[in-house]
This record gives sequence, C-alpha cells and structure tokens, in this order.
Amino acid sequence: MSETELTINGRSHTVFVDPHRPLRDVLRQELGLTGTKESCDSGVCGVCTVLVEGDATKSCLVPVGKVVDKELTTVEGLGSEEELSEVQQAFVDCFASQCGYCMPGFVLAAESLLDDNPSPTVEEIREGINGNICRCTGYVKIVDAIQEAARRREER
Amino acid sequence: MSMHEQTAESDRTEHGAEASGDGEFRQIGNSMPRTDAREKLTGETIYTMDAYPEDVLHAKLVTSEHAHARLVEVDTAGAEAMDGVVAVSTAADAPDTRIGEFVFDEPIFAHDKVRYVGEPIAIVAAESERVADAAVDMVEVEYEPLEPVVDLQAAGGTDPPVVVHEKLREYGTSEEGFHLDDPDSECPNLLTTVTEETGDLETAFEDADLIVEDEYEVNPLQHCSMEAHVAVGHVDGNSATVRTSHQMPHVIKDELSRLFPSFESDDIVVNTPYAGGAFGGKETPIVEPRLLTVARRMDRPVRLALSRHQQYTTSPSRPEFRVRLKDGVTENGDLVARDITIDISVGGYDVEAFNIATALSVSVLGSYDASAVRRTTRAIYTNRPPYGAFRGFGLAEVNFAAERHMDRVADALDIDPLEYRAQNLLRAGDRNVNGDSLHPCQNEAVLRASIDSLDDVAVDTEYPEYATDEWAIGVGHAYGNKSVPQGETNVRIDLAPSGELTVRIGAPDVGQGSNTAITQMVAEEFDTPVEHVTIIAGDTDETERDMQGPSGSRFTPFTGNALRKAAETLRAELTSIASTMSGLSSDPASLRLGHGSVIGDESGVSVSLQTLIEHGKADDSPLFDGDVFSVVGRYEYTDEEHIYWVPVSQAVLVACNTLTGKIEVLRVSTAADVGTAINPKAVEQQLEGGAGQGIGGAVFEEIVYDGGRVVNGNFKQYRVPKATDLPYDSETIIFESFDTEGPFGAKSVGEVGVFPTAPAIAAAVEDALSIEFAVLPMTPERVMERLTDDHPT
Amino acid sequence: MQEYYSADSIRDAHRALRDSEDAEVIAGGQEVMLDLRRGEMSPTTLVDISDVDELCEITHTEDAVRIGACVTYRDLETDAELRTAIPYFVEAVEDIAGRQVRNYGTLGGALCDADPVFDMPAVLLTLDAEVTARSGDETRTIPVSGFYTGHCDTDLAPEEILTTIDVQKLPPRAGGTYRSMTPRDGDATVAGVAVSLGLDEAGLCQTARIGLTSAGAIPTRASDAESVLEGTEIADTQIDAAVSSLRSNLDLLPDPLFSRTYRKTVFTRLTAQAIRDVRTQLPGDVE
Repeated sequence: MSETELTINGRSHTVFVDPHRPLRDVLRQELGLTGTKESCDSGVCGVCTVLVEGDATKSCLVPVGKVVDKELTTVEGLGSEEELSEVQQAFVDCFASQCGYCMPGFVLAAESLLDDNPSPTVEEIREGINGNICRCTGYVKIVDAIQEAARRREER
Repeated sequence: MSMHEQTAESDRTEHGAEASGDGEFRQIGNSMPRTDAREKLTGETIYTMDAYPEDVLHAKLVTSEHAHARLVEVDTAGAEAMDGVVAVSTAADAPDTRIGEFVFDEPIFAHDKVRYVGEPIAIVAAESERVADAAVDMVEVEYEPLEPVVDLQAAGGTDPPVVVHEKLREYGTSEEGFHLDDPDSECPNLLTTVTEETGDLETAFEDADLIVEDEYEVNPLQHCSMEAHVAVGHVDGNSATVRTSHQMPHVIKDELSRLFPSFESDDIVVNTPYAGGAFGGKETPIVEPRLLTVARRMDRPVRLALSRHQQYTTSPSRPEFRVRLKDGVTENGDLVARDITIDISVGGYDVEAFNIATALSVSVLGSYDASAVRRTTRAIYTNRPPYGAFRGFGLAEVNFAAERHMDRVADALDIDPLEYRAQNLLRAGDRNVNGDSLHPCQNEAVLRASIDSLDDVAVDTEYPEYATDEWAIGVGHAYGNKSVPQGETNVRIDLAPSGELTVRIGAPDVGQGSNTAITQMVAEEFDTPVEHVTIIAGDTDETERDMQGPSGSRFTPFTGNALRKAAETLRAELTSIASTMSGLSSDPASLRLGHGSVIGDESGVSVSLQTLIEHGKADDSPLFDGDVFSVVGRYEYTDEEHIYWVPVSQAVLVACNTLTGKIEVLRVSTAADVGTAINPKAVEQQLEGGAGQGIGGAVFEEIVYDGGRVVNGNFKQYRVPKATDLPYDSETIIFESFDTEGPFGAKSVGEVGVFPTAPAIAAAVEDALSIEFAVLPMTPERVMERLTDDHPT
Repeated sequence: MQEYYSADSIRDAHRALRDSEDAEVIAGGQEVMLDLRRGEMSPTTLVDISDVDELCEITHTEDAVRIGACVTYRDLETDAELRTAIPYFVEAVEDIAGRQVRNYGTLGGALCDADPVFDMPAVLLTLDAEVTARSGDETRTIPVSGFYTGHCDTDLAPEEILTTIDVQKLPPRAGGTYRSMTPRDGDATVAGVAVSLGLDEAGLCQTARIGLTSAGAIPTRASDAESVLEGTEIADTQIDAAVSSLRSNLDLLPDPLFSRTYRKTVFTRLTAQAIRDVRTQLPGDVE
C-alpha cells in the first residue's frame, strides 16, 4: 500500500491504498463517496461510472494508480449547493428515476455525452447510454430527460 | 413530444375518472415530482449496499459446489488462522431452526447434505473484502457427491431417480402447510399439489364443438435488481439491528426472531429505508439469517453482500413453469371448459414455490369466463437453486400460456383473436365460475386500446431501416388481469403542533414511488402542502406491522386504505375536540390543516393545533404520544375470493431478423385501468418499466444451467436489456374507473405491465414469420430453429 | 508491494518491465482489470503505456493509416478522415461495447488480449493490416494474419510491446462491411463477418477478403470462400458457393449459450448478406 493523492470534484484527497485497487472501491470504502455504486462484478452495468478528465469510464475497471494525476468527477461533484446540474434536474423533472440505484452512473454518462454532442438525436442518446443498465425504467424517460437536459444546456 | 405523454394527457381527458366519489381532487392525479428523486440524482441516498459503518467487518459465504451431495466435513481451521479473519461460522454455530414460509425445510447452513449449487455452508467475517474472499477459498469442504435430479418431469414422477428431501414429511410446517401431512402423496418430490374443479367439467367438454390442447414452457429468469441482496447486522448484547435491502422488513423481523429464539422479538430491529430494486426477489430471508449467525458472535457490525453470481445461485429466481391447457369451445366461440395443469420447480428448498402454487390455483381465471374449470398446480423439488416470486407471482408466466392458447383456439375456429377474447371476457360486475368477482372497470376498452393504437403504423416511413428484406415485421397483442390476494397493513400518522404530518409505513420504497403516493394521499386527506409531510418507511421500530410490503400489487390499496382509516380517525378526533371549543363545524369532512392550525371550511375560523392538543390532553383524548396526535389505521382483506380489478393489454410491433433470429420490439403500447392514477407520471413509470422487463423475459433472458450449475450468472452472459434493446416508442394509455375498494378509487399498477408482453410478442413473431412459440424466452437460436425447419440453409 | 508506473516513452516502458520481477503492461485497462479480479494475473507492477505520445497517434498517408497501439476506440470513432477512407472500419468500432469502454479501450490492447470474440481483427484481416512490435532497439512487422498463434495467444515475445497497426485504405472500386450477431448491442460477438471486395476494370472481383470473428480459436480469413469469388461477377450462384465453402470450413469452439448449428447458420446468412451489400456499394452493379 502507498500514499496516494487523488483530485476528486476539485478537491485533493490522500488515501493509503494499493495502486491496483479499483477506483470504485477506493471512492466507496476509503472516501465515503458512495454515490458511485457497485452491482455487476463484471464491468458491464455502468453504475460505477465516473468522469476522468471529463470522459466517462467505469471505475471498477480503473486501477486507482492510473488516475493519480487526473481530474476525477463523481456524482457528488455535480451541481451546487443551490441547484442541481441541468442533467440532474431534468432527470428529476422527467421522472427518469425509479429505484434510483443506477442514476449516478447515467447522469455522469449523460453529462459527458452532452459535453461531446450538445444536440444528440434520440438514437445517439440511446447508443450513448448503452454502457449503463437500468432494470426499472425501460429507459424511455431516461432518454426524455437527456433530451430535456440538452435543451436546457443550450439555453444556458 | 414523445408519444406516451400525448396519449396519457388525451386519454385522461377521454376516459377520465368515472363516478369519482370525492369530487375534485387537489393532490390526487397530480404528477408531482417524486419525493425521493432529488436525493437519488445527487447520490445522497444511502442504500444498504452503501452502508459501511465504522469498524464494519466484511462477510462472504462459502457455498456448495455440488447440486446434491452428502456434506462429510467442513474444515474452517485454515481460514480461521488467516491474518485479518475474525470468525468463521457453520451449521454448528447456527440454531437448529429452519428457514421457510410454510415448510421449514432449509437450514441456515447446510448440515449433512447439500441440495443445490450455491447452498450456504459457512460464512467468513474479515477485516476486508479481499481477505474474506481469500478466506472463503481456504475453507475445506469434503463432499460425497450424489446424483442430482434437475429435470422437472423426472423429478415430479411417482418414481423419480432421486428424492431431494427424504424426510420431507417430518419437517415442521406453519399452520398452512397442510399438504405435507398427506401420506397418500404418490410423488416423493412433490411439495404441494392443489386441485380444484368448479362446474361440471366432463359435461362441458362433451358440449364443446372443438377441443384444443397444448403445452407451454417458461424458463427461469432473475430479477437482476441493480442493488444485490445485502445486509448489515449489529448485535449488541441481546438486541440485534439489521439493515437490509428488502421488501418486507416486518417479515424479516418475525422470521429472525423465530429462527433465533435467543433474541426477543422486540429486541430485533430491521430497517430498509430504500432498496435498489426488488421485483419480488427480496421477500424472504436470504442473507439475514446467515449474517446474524456470525454477527451475534461479536460486537462489531458485519456486512454481507451477495456477489452478482450468487444472486443467481443463492437468492431466488423465477421458477420453471410447465403448463398444459385443454380448452373446449363452441363453434361460435364461447369458451365452455378449461382444464389447466401447472407444474413449477421449487429448487432445493422452498422459498416461495408453495405460496405461488397455492395462489395460482385461484388466480388463473381472472381474464375470461368459462362454464367449468379444473386447475391443478404442483410444486416439485429439484436440485437447483431455489425459486420464488417474480413480478406477478406466477401470473405473468401462466398468462403467457393462457393467452397463447386463446390465439390457438381462435386460429382453430377461424375467429379474430381480439374478438374471441372480447366475446369471452369476464364481464365487469360478474363473478366467474370460481366465484371471484371482476370489479367494475373498462376491461373491454382496455382490451382494444393498445392494438387500436398500432393500427396505422407505417414501417416504411417510421422505421425505414427495418423495411429491408432481412427483416420480417409483425404485430401482436395480448391481455391480462391482476387479482389481489389477502393481507393486512397498519399505518400510523403523527400530527405535530406545527402541522407537520409524519406517516409511518412498514413497506419500503423499492423503486415504485410508494413514498410519493402516500405523501400525495395524506396531503389530499388534510389539504396540506406536501412539504409538511414526512414519510418514515421500512423501519420495524418506527412503523406498525405490515406483513406484505410492496408485493403482489397490494401496496397502494392496502397501505393507502390503512392510511385513510388512520386519517378518518384523526379527523374525527380533531373535529370533535375543535367543535367543542369553538364555532368550528362538527363535520369532519370540512376540516383542513393549515400551518399549525385546523381550519373549518365554512366558518373560516381556525384553531391552533397547540391549543387543540392541550385541550385534548386535558380531556383525556386517547390519541396522544407525548405532544403529538398519533393514530393507527388498519386495513385487512381476508376474503377467500380474489378481487380481479386491473385489466391490462399490450400490443407490439416487432421486427425479426431472418439472418440472426433476433427479435426487436420497435414499439409497444400498454393500456391499463388503474382506478385512479394517484400520480399519472409514476403510473407511466410502472407500465413502461413493466413493458421493458416483460420484453427482457420474452426475448432476452434465461438462466442457463449445466445440470444444477448456473452457467451464465453474470451480466455479460445473462441478457438484461440495454437502452437500444428496448423500444423508445413505448406508449401508455391510462384508464381510470374509480374503484370503491381502493383509496381515492385507486387500484395498483406495479405488476400488470409484465403480464401481456411475452404472449403479445409471440403473436407478433407468429405474424411475422409464421412460426409458433410455446416456450420462453424466444431466443435467436429458438427462432432460427423454427425458421430453418421451413427454410433449410 | 504493488506498483503502478506510468511510462513516458516506449524505452521507459521497456526499462520498467525489465526492472520489475513481475510486471504487466496496461493501456485502457478494460480487460486487464477483469483479469486481475478473476485472479488470472496478479502482477507486482502494472506498467501503463497509455500516455506515451508516440503510441497515441493516428497518421494518415494517401494509401494507408498508421494507428498507435494506445489509440482508443473513441479516437478512432472521431477521426473524420478514417471514417471517409474506410467507413466500415469506423462503423465496426462504434458497435463495440458502450461509450465508457470505448473511451478507454484501445485497438492495440484488444489485439494483444487476442480474444477471438473481439471484432476488429476480422476487419483488419480484410484490409491487409500489419502490426509493429518493438523490443529494445529492434522492431519487427507482423501481418495480422500471422499474429495469432492460438486461443488468446499472439506471436509477441514477452519483452515486445506492440507499437502500431498499419491499415491499407480502400482503393477505388472497393468497399467493405462488417456484420455481426451480438445477443444485445455491444455484447461479445457470437458470429461476425468482415467482407471487403475490390473490382477490376472489367467489373469482376479482383480481391475478396473475408475475416471472421468467433469462428474458432483465432481470428481467421475464409480463404477458400475468397477464392470462389475472385475473378467472378459475384452473382448469386457464386455467393452461394462461397458461403457453402465457408460453412464447411468452419471449426467452431464450443459455446454454452449458442450451439454450433445456430452459429454456422448465422455465419452463412450474414456472409451472404454482407457480400451482397458490398457488391451493391460498388460501381457497375448489374441490378
């Protein structure tokens, strides 16, 4: 184990961990940042999605040693005290959340999708969220929410 | 604008509330954002999977590698000696009591035999997950393998190759386990069989002009809740606190106190504030008894989460179903006789198969009427992981068979399948041959609405990439109906002097929006802003007994009605005190809650709650808990007969790829009569989500076994649909026929979304490719087998 | 004691690999982390090469494109020149897994992992691609068709690092496609076929390349089927004969979820459709 410094949501954190340990476990168990979830054990479901330098990636597939000098964003870093991000608020307003367990992963995937492609078509959104699994919703309102978020981001 | 929004709007106008007894609603019918949405979108919600108390120990299970074996020895010494391992527990550390709902057949840890791959043998508690995983590998288990039986037909015969429970009839049972006392049972692996016949079946078949028989098969699948089974337990002296991801904390509390007699029932607290999905898979004790066995040996909290693979082997799955149907009809299309036999697999131990088999025997007739019906259900032990409820409690699987059979018969009679169904629909207000009544509802309108909506689809313009030679297009449709079984719920309301209303409900919100529904109901009751309502859910210490939680579509009617009863009592008491003090009306209906006060509608006079409380306490009013009015309401449904009341239909447009056999559902339309839509958007959530899950089970999902071993117990090989696997064009058509039994006229909508999906898709595939499906799921390989029969490569 | 070392050059990576008692290379980590979790490897040191500039470049010439081993699928998707030059290459990339995996997964990493279910090797086989491997100061070039030596095994020596993949662009009168059966979008491929066809001036098939995914232990070309097509008009009878030859040569690995019968049927049907689709793209189509 070694002393490791991570930059998460703009703040510096120091943890004492093995560098091969998955980032997801370090976030959840060492730093109490449990917004990033665990579910499938095999890198498929996307509930562990975080942003590394703005790019969506599955934190269960990232050894913590890989990201020591990168800007990390978790769901806790979105929005502000006063208001949610456009994506988060759109998910609330469009009824995209049911059990909610997959939501942080989808939100981060959506943030990064809209950063790359500010006006995606429905098909581009659907393909863009294929790295995330939801069991409750059938994805319909998640797609609606991302479309709405895109509109609101344009207005900003 | 997406299709479903438009339709929901316009259809609520078109088919709006009928005879809404209470007149205009304020909160009911309002699509307010869900009360839990914000915290779930910020990641603030702490699910049980996220609970890492300071000092927590991490536990992992040692589970059986054999489907059937004698357990010769379990040597934990090597594991116990490892650095970082705190304790290893086996059957020797667990009480002798056995887990079960009706039959107490399952030990907490295996004793002398294992009966399925995945059966818990031991538990390791260690300082980290990594050490716990390593320690599991160090536990040495010696087996003497025995021949397993996994085939349902073979296991269910009079002379099966293997008997799963030789001492089945010696096990303890709950009161309802009466079938085990029957010494005449011919089939040693039969857990229970229920046969009922009503009407004169023999004569009815004689009167029939045509008899159609067929067999249907539905294979097991998994709930795949995104949050796996997980619990954190802490024992402090004689009291235990268990936080768990579960649908029924009150049931778990009862079960744990039965299983661990050293704990007083009052000293066990079970808590589920939220769960990340359940779908019927979290109704029984799975991780909790194993966890408590080791947790009671130490002071520190212990966390046990099943791995995703263990979800398939150690938590319940949906059973295997074999359904034989024999229908007799007249030549003009009257269904006169039905003989239905349903076999379901139990697995190595009974999780819920007994319950399902019993429930099914009365609930297979909800959609249509016939003069005579015989139904036989059998639950059969096999050496496979245990089986339990999945959304619908068996209704969706039987509905696949029943609806496919309606299509067969219609085809044989050369009658339009839609009209054949309409002709035999159970009439609203009537009782069927079993004596079950169909509550007044718009079932015929529901039947037709979804397929009518697909009338004018033009594939060439709307789905041009599917208008090529490699795709075959088809349309299909099916119907279903949900019945409500017995249950009892208690709800407590606390009213503080500030006007803050706290509603305490035993059922946790596992994703369906129950907290929001209750918030809206109580805000409606007292005409109070929703900001003044707090819900406390799922904590056995903080809430009254609720023995079914969100299951079987009972939450809305049961908790809702219990809430209304509590509200009624509270209103009456408030009014009675208020009217003695002031000019406020003595009519409870005119009372409203303001900010810290009660207001009478007509007089406009208000009296502060603080004053009322002081007055009430002085008068010895019975409803106080400290400075707070506190009232419990109870709702119970105990009738033998089932209420049928939520008709549902779905129509689908599918594209079948003739190169690969893959089925894509391009569009789905779902119609249902929900009584009153408390929150229309939340209703859409349930129906859209149900359609999605229904498509998963129809086309994508199947647990594949090699003997007793699960082969595809992971999300790579077990195919939970992703976004592009499901249709975005998913429409919901909500009908509202105010139901007098339901709170504010509401019924429920949690399960019906999955009932018609598989048969609708099978009908569409038949339309597209002229191939028949009597088995689920309709995998690409099964499609191709049927295609190549006609078109050899 | 676990180490994680981020190399800044290929030389630096080689040094780190030599200096550690038990080191493995990691690029995007999409496969390595699963191997670690499953216990299939437990190296002391992970040497990360994903930030080595030289390995992350895409260089275009008129006839070819040179792709650094650590170029991600996302980099490939967004390379407009590549999309124009070899459309089906980019289309195949877009169908791999999901966004998150494509953000990090690399073409070089997939080649070295050598799982026959990966899509890109079949595509590379239809474009006469070659890879370059470097150890110390020595470099050697290996055609993709000779790169695979066995199930999940490559010709790379332990001290070699894959540095580039060189792909020939489609000449005039040539086209290609990639068709695959995946149970869900983004799943591992059950049966995949890449086809490229080039016509001569008379409109007859000059070159035919058919690359197969999940058709055995290693990614292969259906050379017999290719020969059936070459020199012909690529009419229905020739397509049927080619596909028949392909089917009879298939030697599929066992699969717990999809039978050989099913997969052979799918290979047959997808190949026939792929050949027809490419033929339609090309000039002088008879219909």
